[in-house]
Amino acid sequence: MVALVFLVASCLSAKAQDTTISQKRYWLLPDHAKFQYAGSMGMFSLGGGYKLFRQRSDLDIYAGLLPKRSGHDNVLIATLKFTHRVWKIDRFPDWELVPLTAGFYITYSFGTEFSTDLPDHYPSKYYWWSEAVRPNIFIGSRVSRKLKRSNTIESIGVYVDLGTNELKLVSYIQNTDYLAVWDILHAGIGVTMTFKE
Amino acid sequence: MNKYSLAGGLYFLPVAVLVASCSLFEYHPFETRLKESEKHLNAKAIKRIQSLPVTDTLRFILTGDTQRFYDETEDFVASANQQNVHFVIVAGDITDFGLREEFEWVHHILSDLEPPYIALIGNHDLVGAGATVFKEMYGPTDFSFVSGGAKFICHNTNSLEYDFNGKIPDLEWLQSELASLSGDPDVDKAFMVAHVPPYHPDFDPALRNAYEDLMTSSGKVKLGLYAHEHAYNDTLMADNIRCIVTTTVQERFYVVVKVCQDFYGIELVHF
Repeated sequence: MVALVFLVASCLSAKAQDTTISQKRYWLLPDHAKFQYAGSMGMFSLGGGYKLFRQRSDLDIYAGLLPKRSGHDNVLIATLKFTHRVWKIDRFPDWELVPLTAGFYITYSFGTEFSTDLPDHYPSKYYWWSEAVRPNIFIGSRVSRKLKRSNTIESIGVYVDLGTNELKLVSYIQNTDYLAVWDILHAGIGVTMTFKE
Repeated sequence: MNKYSLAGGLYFLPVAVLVASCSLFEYHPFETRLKESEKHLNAKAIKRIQSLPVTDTLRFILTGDTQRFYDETEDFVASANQQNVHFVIVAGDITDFGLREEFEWVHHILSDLEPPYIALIGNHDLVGAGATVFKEMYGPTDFSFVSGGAKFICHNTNSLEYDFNGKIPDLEWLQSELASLSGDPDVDKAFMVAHVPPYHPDFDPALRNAYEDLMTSSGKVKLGLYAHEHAYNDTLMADNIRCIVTTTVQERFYVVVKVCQDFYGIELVHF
């Protein structure tokens, strides 16, 4: 949790410094907005965030929804997601191709049925994981088209992620005969819209 | 411009392939969507059990706690298929985290069993949305069936998961199941089947005496079959009723129970 606060704080302070150079936008306005389907963070999720590390990384916050017919109830999910562009191709003037992204995200599922910590009536360490908090890692790729004529939108893009969470990863590590890597992966696909500075 | 369109087109080929394999698109770690073929599995298994030809000796396997032990469960299936048994009972903790994928993996492995298998709910199956997946996949958590003149009363004893609310195990339901026995001449004995054995601290201590009294007063309960402890145990409960607790599949061990009139044979198998 401390690491998360630090990440958010460092992200915000990085933006604050930017404002001294360009006075065009209010520093708190997000650099981009995103909309994602699946990816273990809701059926659909809507998010936004900031570009970090010389525009090589994104830090985003999403709000997602799992509708009742896919889960046992309507579930609201908050996600903090960090995406780094590992391999970026800049040779096309109108396109930004990112064949490889990598990152991690942490989801928090709201609702009394998902406990964050072990409830008091259990003996200590009865279960070692949290139901509400789920860490994930992923790789993916992205392609964006730059919009030269728009005054507000810099580019729009599409991305896809392939990831897993800690529970499925530990299942795989202990059962490499039965489980293939493919079995523990989950995918998400989304669109991203980057705003002009 | 054409060049760029081509680049974009090639780029989306893998994406299109991904979209096509839509099972990858998970909405939530505890989501509950299942294929039709994965539903009502206990009812289907009971139908198969009841269509089996009647024999003098009833033989079945008691195993449990397959949770996160897929490689071992595969080996269990290979071994169990060598046994000449009528059916297999998996006495709870099918999964470790209550994830839909875990239920699917275990069912995928156990569907290679030649005899039908019956699954009970364990405490780990109740984590997250596990209870919802279990009920969709296997059916009610309290159910019973008759085979070889014995009634198998399968029930939920994972009291700790309900914060000892006094309703788990459901004594009223158990009482009605046991009461219905007295009027049935074809069924002369009953077996209690559940995940947590009554002497375990995770079983509601306030209900233990009433639970054991029910068994004793019915006069028909001959065996209790449990799991949960990850250790084999052959002990007595409730006024000399034999209580068999199987260990986890991880220990590469299961129990074969043979029932012939009033004879109960317990065979321990290592695989």
